[in-house]
Amino acid sequence: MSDANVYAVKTLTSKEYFAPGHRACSGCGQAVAVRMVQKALGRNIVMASATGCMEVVSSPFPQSSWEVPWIHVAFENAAAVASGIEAGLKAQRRKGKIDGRKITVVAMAGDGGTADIGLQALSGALERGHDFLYVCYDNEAYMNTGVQRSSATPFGAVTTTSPAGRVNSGQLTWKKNMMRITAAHDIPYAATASPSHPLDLVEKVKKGMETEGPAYLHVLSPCPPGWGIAAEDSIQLARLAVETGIFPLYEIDKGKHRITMNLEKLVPVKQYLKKQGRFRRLSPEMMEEIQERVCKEWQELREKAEQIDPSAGADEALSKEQEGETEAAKIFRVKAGAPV
Amino acid sequence: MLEIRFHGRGGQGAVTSAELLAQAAIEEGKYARAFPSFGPERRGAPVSAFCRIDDKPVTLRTSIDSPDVVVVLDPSLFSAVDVTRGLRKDGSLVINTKKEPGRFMFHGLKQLAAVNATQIAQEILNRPITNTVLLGALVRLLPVVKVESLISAVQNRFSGKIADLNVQALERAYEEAQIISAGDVDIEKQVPCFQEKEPPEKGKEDKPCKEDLDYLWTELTPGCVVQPGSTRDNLTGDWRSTLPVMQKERCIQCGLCWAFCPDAAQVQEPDGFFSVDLDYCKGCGICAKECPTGAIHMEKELEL
Amino acid sequence: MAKRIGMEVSIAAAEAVKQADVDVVAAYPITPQTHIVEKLSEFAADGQLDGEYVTVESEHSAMSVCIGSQASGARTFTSTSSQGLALMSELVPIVSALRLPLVMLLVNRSLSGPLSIWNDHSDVMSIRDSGCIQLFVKNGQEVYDHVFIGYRIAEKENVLLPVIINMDGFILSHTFEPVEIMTPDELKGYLPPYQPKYTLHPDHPLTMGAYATPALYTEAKKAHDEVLKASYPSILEAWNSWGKRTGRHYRPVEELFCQDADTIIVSMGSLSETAAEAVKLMRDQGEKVGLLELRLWRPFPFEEFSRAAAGAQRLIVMDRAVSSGGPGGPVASEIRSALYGINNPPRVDSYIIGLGGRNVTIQDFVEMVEKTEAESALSPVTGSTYEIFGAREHH
Repeated sequence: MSDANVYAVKTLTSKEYFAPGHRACSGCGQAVAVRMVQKALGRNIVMASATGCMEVVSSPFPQSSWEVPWIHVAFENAAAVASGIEAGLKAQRRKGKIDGRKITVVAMAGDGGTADIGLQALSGALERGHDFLYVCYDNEAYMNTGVQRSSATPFGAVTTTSPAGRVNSGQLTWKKNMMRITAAHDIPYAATASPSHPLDLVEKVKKGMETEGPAYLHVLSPCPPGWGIAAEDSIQLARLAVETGIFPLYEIDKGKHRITMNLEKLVPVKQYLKKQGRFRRLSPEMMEEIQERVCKEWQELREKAEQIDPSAGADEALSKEQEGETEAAKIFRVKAGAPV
Repeated sequence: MLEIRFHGRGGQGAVTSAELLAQAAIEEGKYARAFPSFGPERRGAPVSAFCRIDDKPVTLRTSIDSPDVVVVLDPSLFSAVDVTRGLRKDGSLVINTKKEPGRFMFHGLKQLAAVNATQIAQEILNRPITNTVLLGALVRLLPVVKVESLISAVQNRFSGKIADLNVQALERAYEEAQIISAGDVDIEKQVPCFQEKEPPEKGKEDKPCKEDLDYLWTELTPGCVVQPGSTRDNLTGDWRSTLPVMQKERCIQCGLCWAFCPDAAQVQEPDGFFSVDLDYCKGCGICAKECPTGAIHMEKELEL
Repeated sequence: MAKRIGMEVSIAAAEAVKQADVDVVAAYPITPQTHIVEKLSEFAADGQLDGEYVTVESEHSAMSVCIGSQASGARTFTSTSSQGLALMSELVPIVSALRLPLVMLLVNRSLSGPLSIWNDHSDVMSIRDSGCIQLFVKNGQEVYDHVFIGYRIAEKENVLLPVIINMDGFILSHTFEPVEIMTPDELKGYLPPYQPKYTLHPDHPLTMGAYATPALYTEAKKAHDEVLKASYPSILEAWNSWGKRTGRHYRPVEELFCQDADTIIVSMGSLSETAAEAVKLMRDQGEKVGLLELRLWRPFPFEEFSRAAAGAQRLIVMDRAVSSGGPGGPVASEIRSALYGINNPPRVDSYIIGLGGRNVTIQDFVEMVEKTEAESALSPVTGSTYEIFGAREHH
């Protein structure tokens, strides 16, 4: 966990399970995240995908970017389709119709397919306790249909259905907290992850796979056209989301909260918000409101994490160890998101 | 009826071009229709848009496969897309290029207008959105609509400063566009950019040359099952307008460029260094931005 | 030796599912389907059903689970009614397009507006064009038999389509009646193990559910339509083979006194049994009346239907659903189309009956025949009735 070796990212497999030639936008943060998740998942899996950006860019008949068995059925039912795959494989395994090896079942959907239209199917699958990993790629709006707001769109963000109007400007509500919702199902594992922190992300995918029963992974997925950012900035924005505390990296492992990317000090949210076209119309008051809320939620998260795991001080020890590192290694450690 | 086809990249405003032109024509009391090629392609991918203008009501809703005029918003498209496909004999071409425009003349083309639209857009709009620029060049070449009508359409479409800047860009392109007619260039004596094409067969004008169309219904797999990893046949390198260039001496072989590439287009060579897979690199620039030692920078993709 | 046992038809249905070596059941309870899924849950809890019972949170998820399960290679079953079908209807054309051969028992119930838990065919008519094989059964024995027949048809390599078996809610599903339950020996060999062509398994990765651009959607639809039509001989084969084994023979259209009939009643589902009694009664009174029971709804048996109906002067089509604002009941409209262009076509009268559980009696059939005969005496060919029969107009 602690050895943030400069070259650690190369421990990821060189095999591509999400093949190139997909039609995702140039600089798509979600495509980066999917590539990494697939590398962590490996080949011994079956996937069910919701309708959405990744489905559309990856599977125009007669082509597919998927190197693993993969099915798309509809928008709101990825969790239910995955439930069926899990049940089908289980029954066939028990009856000796297929061999006994464990096959990881994975569902993937965007924030709309998870927090809005797919919430019921997800809740049902989590409650029934299917052994599967659900990955939500959160780009914070309905990007596939042209950037309409979802319940995961952050406060203040302008989308085509939360436009900058004369009376109201941008999203008027706060982002739905899927981590709390999924955790309330008492599932054994839930975590957030970001493509800016590949090692942390990969570790969480692996934990999710090893978990018996349902696991939930919420992955931030910067979207250049939807967020109004340059294509090259996707990863930088994902990193800033983590460092500002807007998208903290943590996990809830059998009920225990643990922050996996500790932040000595939060970077002001302004630095994250001002880089994005969707927040261009944010008033100073709204910006302040966001900052307050982020600080409050970060504090709450720390309290939850500390309450259960009082092993504070570990961070300090780690940073001492790293004193001798080179400048490049330091930059790298931040960029690769070596877990604390 | 005049049929105009626009080629651009997702996000460059090809559809807006077609709509502005239609709007200008409608304001002049003509009839016009503009519509995009509806597809799943994303930002950066080649897209097209269509505009028909006539003195009589326009009723057709089919894509334009034998255009009178082709407008190309991005110079990187010349090599990526068959932009002159189906262009009528004695048709016209409006292009964004900084190259010598005579090179783009070919047998069968009546005239062309060339303008360095990317530069104009960068200087005036501060971003490479070339749609209004090329409209300026288009009306200079062909009096499809009056410049004033086009300006008024731009002013209706955009507001405030953005409208003013777009009008400025349009006017500058109108001034700067170079017009070349068929007789001006000795085609035989130059390396041609475009080849003259056989006109489409009668009745086959509407058939886009896409591989998908080759499938018969009897050839589809049951349930339309697809083979894994087959998008590798879809080379997305032609989306690219900028290209990552590596400096080996600064590379520490950390692999971040490889890890952060959305298109798996960084490949590690046997010597440990990384090279760009030009077949798939869309030129997003994440690798350059994320390289911890600054070993990668982006360069403009070479024009044809 | 098969034994005739008195049982509720829903229980017979569940018994057949258990015997058919189903791997996964996913269903959401809805009246009047509940007795089937309750019994299947019992079987699962007792270990008699060797499979997974997934207690989903909605019918939409029921069909989604079925799609996932069937795609993984498991033999899968579901059952629903009315609103449940409406909720899952998004997925019905998808399951057929994916060519996943599950079997669904649709316990027919009227669609809400106003809410009604009782029987008619408005639910199934909403998925008429979904690309599934759809058939109607009329008694407990046919329900039981068709679970096996359904899987045999569905899973044939050249078919691979879902089979929807329509059984009327309450009037059939909740009736206690004798059913012959087959012994494992008698069933042996009729339903070979499911050999899927494609499955979701890491040993042979593939993609299911790719989308089609305008360049390919038409070809995909054409291929689906052709395979549905081409399933016809496989359906006949499954019935023939079952007939040889059990002595119970089924046809796409079942005829009673049709050969010399002037007037033919066309019906579907459990109403056909009452209709048969009415026809026998009228025959006894010297009326040349016949009954044509449409068992196979999709693919529509055009040839058999036209041949059976060709000699009649009048067809009285009993529809149990309204096509609001349309030219007649949905079945009647279909039949008018089927007969268009043949020489001397019969007059087709459309009666909507038995909506929302309204009782249909022998006397109702007699009345409809008399009314039609009187009207057609005035206008033998051109006229045609379209009536919601029995709607009260006077006190």
